Amino acid sequence: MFQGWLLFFGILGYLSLLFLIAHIADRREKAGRSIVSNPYVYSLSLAVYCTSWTFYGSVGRAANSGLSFLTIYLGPTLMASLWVLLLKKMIRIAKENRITTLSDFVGSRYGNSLALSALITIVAVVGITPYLGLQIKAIMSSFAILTGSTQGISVAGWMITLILGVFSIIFGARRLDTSERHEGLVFAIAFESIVKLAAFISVGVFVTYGLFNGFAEIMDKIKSSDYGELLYIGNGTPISYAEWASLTFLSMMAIMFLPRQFHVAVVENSDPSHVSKAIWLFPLYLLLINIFVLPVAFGGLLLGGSQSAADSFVLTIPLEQGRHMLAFFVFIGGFSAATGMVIVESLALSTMVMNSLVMPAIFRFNEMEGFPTVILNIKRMVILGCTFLGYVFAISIGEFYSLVDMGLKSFEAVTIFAPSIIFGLYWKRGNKNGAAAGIIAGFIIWIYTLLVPALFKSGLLHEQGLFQYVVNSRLLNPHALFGVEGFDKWSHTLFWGLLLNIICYVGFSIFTKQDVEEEKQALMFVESYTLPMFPVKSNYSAKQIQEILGQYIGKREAVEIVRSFLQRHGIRRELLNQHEYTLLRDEAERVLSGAVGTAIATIILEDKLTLTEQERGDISSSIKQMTETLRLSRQELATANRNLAYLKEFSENIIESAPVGIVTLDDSLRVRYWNKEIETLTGIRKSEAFNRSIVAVLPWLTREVIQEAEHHDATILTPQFQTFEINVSPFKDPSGGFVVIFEDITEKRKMEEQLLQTSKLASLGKLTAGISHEIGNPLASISSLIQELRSLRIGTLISSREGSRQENAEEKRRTALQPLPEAEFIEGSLKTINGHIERIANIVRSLSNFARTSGRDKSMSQLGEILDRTINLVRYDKRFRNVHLIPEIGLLPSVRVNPDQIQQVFLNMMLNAIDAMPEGGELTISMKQEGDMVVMSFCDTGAGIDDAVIDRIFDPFFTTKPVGKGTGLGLSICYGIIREHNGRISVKSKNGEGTTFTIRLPVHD
Amino acid sequence: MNNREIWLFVFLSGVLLFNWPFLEIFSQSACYYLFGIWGLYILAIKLFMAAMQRRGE
Repeated sequence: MFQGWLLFFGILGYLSLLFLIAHIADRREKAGRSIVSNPYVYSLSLAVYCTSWTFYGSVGRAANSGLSFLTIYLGPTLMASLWVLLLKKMIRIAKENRITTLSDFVGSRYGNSLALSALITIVAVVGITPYLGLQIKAIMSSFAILTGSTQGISVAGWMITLILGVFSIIFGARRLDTSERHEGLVFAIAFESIVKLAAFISVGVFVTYGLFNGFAEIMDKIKSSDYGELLYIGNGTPISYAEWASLTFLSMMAIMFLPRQFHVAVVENSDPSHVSKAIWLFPLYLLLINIFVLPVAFGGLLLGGSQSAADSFVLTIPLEQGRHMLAFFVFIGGFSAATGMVIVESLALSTMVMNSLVMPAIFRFNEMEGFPTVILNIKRMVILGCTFLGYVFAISIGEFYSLVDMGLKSFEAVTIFAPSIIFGLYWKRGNKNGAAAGIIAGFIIWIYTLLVPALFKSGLLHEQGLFQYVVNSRLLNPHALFGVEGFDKWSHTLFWGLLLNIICYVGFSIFTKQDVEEEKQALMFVESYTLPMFPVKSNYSAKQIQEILGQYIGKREAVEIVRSFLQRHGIRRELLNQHEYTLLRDEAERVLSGAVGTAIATIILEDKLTLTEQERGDISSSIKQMTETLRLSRQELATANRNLAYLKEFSENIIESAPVGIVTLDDSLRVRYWNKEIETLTGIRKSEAFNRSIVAVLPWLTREVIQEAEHHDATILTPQFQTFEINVSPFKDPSGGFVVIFEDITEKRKMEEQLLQTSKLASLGKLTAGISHEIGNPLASISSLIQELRSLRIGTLISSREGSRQENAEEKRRTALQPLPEAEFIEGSLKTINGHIERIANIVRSLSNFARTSGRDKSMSQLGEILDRTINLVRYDKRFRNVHLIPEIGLLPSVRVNPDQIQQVFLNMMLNAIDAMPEGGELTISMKQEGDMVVMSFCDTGAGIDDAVIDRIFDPFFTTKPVGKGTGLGLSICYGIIREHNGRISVKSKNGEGTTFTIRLPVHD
Repeated sequence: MNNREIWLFVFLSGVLLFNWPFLEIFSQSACYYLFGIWGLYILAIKLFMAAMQRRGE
């Protein structure tokens, strides 16, 4: 066991360490090197929520009610997920309105109402007293456990309370603070959060792994013990689902509206962005500090401890196991949890009391000698008063209740503020009458259902006379109001308190009017209007402002504040303009708010400095005008929103319906929009492309291509053989980016190629028509002349022979019948010439035929008959004798064609097949109907066509035959004829296996 | 979903997960369920926050 003096020494030493830490943080802040302004210290400072209730009470609660202790930490975890919306808004409003307490916050929302601030303060002081008492009770109990004696514990408690009060004064009221924030205090609280976490985890590890073999063993043993029900939740277990939900809700409200939580989360916040990390860091802290609660609670029970003594298991277990140093460390951890709460809570409460109750009563005595010192001393007395109020509660009522019972009373009390604050932040019509009525209703329910029974239990009140009649009546039973039974204690107070609170708040707000000041403040809180929208002129000098400040915070401080303001803005006192006077006034109001509260600071400066009746009137009408403008603006905004939504939908419809791929890119070429057509073209879905670099999505679309396409359209052939035409247009707005339009021109390209081919044929047709005419005429003359020459030459030679030798008729006849060598030569030459001329004539005829492929008459014809005629023609070709013809002619309809042209096509097909099979082979000709088409194929077993040239065989003058054997026009003519009949001709061939030409003609022209 | 809707969704999901009927569904292992979901919920908040910060909200 420990000596009492040793523990006192330990307590004082620990508090001195805290003070040293706070001092260091303050010095760093003044040097401009803050160690507090970061999200980690902010999150740790929020852990002031974990008091000796957490440290001792959670274990006690777990040992008696199982998992119900978790509700106190799950509520804040849930609430933390709303901090981005709720807490950030509260911080912003508090900073803009220089709010330093919860009562200021509520009072400010409802037209800077001092009455409402005072009401909030009274409820808070009364409601938080049990919570302060809880801390003092915990310290006294732990002190008694460590010293091993309860003798003189009241005196020790008194001493400890005094020490805590004095240290609270040292932390928060050693001078009249003009600052809203106290970095030293916040850093000390953050340090305490680490100490209590380390202490609790130490004892948790000791119990779990030192005395048992881990969590599993403890859980298994407790499950099979008499305490097995502690592991379950629900009806028939120590906690019902309804109570679970109520406690969770209460803790959600507590984390927002306990005065100390408001102080560290809102007033001491140095940067709203810290909230973003705190929303998960703070719940993580809560999770860590609770991990060992069940093992310690169940371990204590398994080791023989009783449920009634479970609050102190964290101390008694190490002590009984002879781990005195661990017990001392745990004591310091518990003390740390309690002191953090007491210091911050008493400071927050004292500031509320000063700003809302004391200053409104005394601020008019400002001209009294030493007025700032009076304020400071009153604040110190209030701090001591708050801590001793807790002490009184601890020794009078506290002994009848567990730590958790006492804490939950305070949670219920601060929940009374919830409707006024939450509705006040989001509902403009909520007014101070409603807020006051709601709070009073909630407070009455709290007093009647929680405090009065506690007073009865402690013996401070007796159930006699009227009291006895009332509390035992059916309607006014404090445990079952209006005869409604079935609630647990906490759900009962929460339900009736919140119900009446909300009804009164909403009802009074609807049926009573707001004044101008309330309207202004409602705009500020709900619509996030900022102060500069309500400009206040100042017609007073810097000296006068300095004098006013001096009356409340001391002359030296006032001089320093004005001097530092002028220095910070780089201006001279005598050259201040109207705007700078207004800024100085704002600075004075900020300083005064820190010292005496927002409401009083406003009153002081309004009375002393600024507003004439005319100016008040101006502000009033300005607010009315602004409210009306806001109403109209909202209507316009709603209309504009609807139009905007329609336009957005309309534009998206256009983009989505466009037959081209449309992609928008940001300045770093990431995809921001991807329409349906581009999905179809590329096969890449919008979700796959969104927010990725276009270069990664479409690798063939490089930065260089985009840059090039910015100047003129670019054409790209993709690896999938798609041809895209790409147009890139930069966005006009400064944020940059591009609109890229993709047009698939693959088909268009093919069409263009076909068009070119047709155009070539048409041109060539015209050309050959002319040429064949020009060549044909002289060729015909030459041919007839040669015929004539042949006959003339032979005749001349015969005549000359008759003239020189006229011997006898027999000789003459014999000689005439024997050709002369010259005549033979001439005859042979002329024959050769004639043969060549015939060949030229053939070419010319082919050319003429080629030229005549258009403009001929068509008639209904049987393709089978045309084929028969063609076969009859070819049959006389001697090469055809080696070819085995296999006709496969199906039942065919009459087709509207030009029979001569089609015959020419068939002829060309068959002659080509014969040429391809010089050694003979098979030619299969099939004709059949397929739907609306007649399909004809000419399949030979010849040499086939090489892959390299197969694409060119329909080109004019292209031939694979030896020189002189083909004109290269046959297939080209066929192509022209078939196209003219709206048909198609195609070829398939394999080297060495043969070639198949397929012709498709439509049945209906 | 905008910022406000996401946080309201996270909050309401949490309210549901930490209350009836889920508590009844997992009543036989309520202790492990509560601590497990608590940890996952904190992780979810952190991830949502990180995602929003990446989106610049």
